[in-house]
Amino acid sequence: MALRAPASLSYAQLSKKTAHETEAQRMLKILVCAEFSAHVLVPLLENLFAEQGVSVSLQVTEFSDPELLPSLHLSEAPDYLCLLPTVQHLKLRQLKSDGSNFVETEAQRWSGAGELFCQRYPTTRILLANFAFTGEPIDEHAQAINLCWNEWSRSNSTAQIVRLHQLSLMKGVELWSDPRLWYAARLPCTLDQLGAFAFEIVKTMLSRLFPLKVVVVDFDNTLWGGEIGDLDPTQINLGGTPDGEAFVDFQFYLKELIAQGIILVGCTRNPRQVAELPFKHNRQMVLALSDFAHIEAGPDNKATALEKIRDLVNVGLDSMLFLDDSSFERALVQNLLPAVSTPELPADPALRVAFLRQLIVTEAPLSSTGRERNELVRQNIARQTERQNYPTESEFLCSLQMKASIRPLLPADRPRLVELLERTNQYNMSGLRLVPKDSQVLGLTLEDRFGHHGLVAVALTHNENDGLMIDNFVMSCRVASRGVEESFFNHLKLLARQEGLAKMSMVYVPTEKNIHCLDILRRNHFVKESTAWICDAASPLAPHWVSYE
Amino acid sequence: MSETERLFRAIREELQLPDLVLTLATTANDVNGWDSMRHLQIILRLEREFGMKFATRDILGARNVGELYQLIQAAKRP
Repeated sequence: MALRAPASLSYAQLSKKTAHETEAQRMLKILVCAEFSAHVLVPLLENLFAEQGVSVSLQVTEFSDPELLPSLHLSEAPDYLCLLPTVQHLKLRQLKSDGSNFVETEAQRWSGAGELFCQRYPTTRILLANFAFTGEPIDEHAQAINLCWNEWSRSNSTAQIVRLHQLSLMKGVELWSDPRLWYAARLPCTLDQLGAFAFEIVKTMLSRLFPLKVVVVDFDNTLWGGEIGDLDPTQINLGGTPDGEAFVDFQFYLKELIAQGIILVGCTRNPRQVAELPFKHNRQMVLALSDFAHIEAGPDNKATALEKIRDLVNVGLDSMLFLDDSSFERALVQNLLPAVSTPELPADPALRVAFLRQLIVTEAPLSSTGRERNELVRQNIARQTERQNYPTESEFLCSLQMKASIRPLLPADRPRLVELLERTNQYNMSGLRLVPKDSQVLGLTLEDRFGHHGLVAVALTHNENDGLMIDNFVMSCRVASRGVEESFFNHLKLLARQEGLAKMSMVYVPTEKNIHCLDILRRNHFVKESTAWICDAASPLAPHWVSYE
Repeated sequence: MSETERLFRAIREELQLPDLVLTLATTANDVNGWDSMRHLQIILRLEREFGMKFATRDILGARNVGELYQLIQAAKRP
């Protein structure tokens, strides 16, 4: 689910409003540990989460001693541990410190305590708010600690950073904080900024839970000013005028999103040849045709076009963000496809990038596959186009000349493993995001005549009694319906037989998104027996169009 | 509008209680919903309304509406 823009970030509105606009689809338990009066955030978080279709149960504790965290006694594990240290307390600790290893010690105090907590509650994820800036000398230490935490979150798949430093810079130190409110009420920022503070928590959390995968962008008056159907491609408003410069920056922003692993799709009512003219003839264009995974061009209304894009790219509508300057098109999509995030793009092009930066949180991709996602989807769409040239599915699949390689994962594969476990929802059997200590991790890489898919499927397994237990099986939706899972299961059966095991068991935990997993289980002759799905390890079922080693 | 009327109006608006009857003797305890956070909202609203700043000790220090009024008047003296 891409984020919906909040109706208001005003403290007065959010602290009162209780009428939730959408029905909650999901419940999250959050333990907030803060170095300030964080109770004040409770109604704000409840209302902001509710706007996103999520209801939350919040437990708030206030303390400055994260070492106490692991000793907290909780009746059940929270989904999130939200750590909110303050720069005001950091300042005090710096005054008392002897200066040696201050940055490392402070960074470790919070990240280490979070990790210890998660050893006790392994399903809990950590959200750590970094230090806001104050315009005082302490900022130097705060920035160094923030950098340590960035590194830490890159190597710890369950941790995310709430970027308060960015928010405080954007708002400006004078607007962000008021020392009087700290001394009088232990508030780390002004009342006016509390809504933005809470929303930063909400969007960071949801960016991982419901990641944005595809940005669909209109062309006329969104990528450039004017209508290409009526203008020479060199006459469109792009660069050279105030609005034209803003359109250039907007295109740079979309480039930035591609580098963050977002798939970019164009969507225009112009005929394709016309829509492509600026890319070919206007030198101010920042985006190239090759930056788009696909361009859906033609007279269809935008809702129909978005449904086609969903089928081509094979992602849920709730992973898509639609950007269009036309309020008519936006209203149509909001009405017909409410799952698609369709923000009210500001009419003034100069305000659009700042608006989107507030709404979207992307995480730098961990692996090279993540960084190349746009290109991989482009290749995949080329494959689907090729499909029309073959009378049957199996002839098409044979023509792809797929080669799979199945092997135990190496330490270098870890970033991609984390991405697959974290980001995959449709083809994720058990939803287990962590690798249990006793699990073996096998991965499948795939290539075909169109290119390399990279690591596209993993299985976490362990031996149990007379069977091979698959704790989770996860596969990229890019390779769905190609016989990849059959090849993988065939290899697992072979391993089971080599170990003298007669059966293979799969853990399947149904969610609202992984219904395809049920098809996979049935097609591969898994049968439900009490809590697990079992199949005979003796029956090979690999498709002949995938060769594997 | 007199300054006391401006003060009363600002308090009513921040508490979202348009019909609240206020006097200079009214205290936060007399009004349902006038909690410490709502009080901070009132203080920041009064700062904007009267173009002044409360000292930290006065933010939670005023005991009734009359004392808020006196603090506003004191801030205006040269």
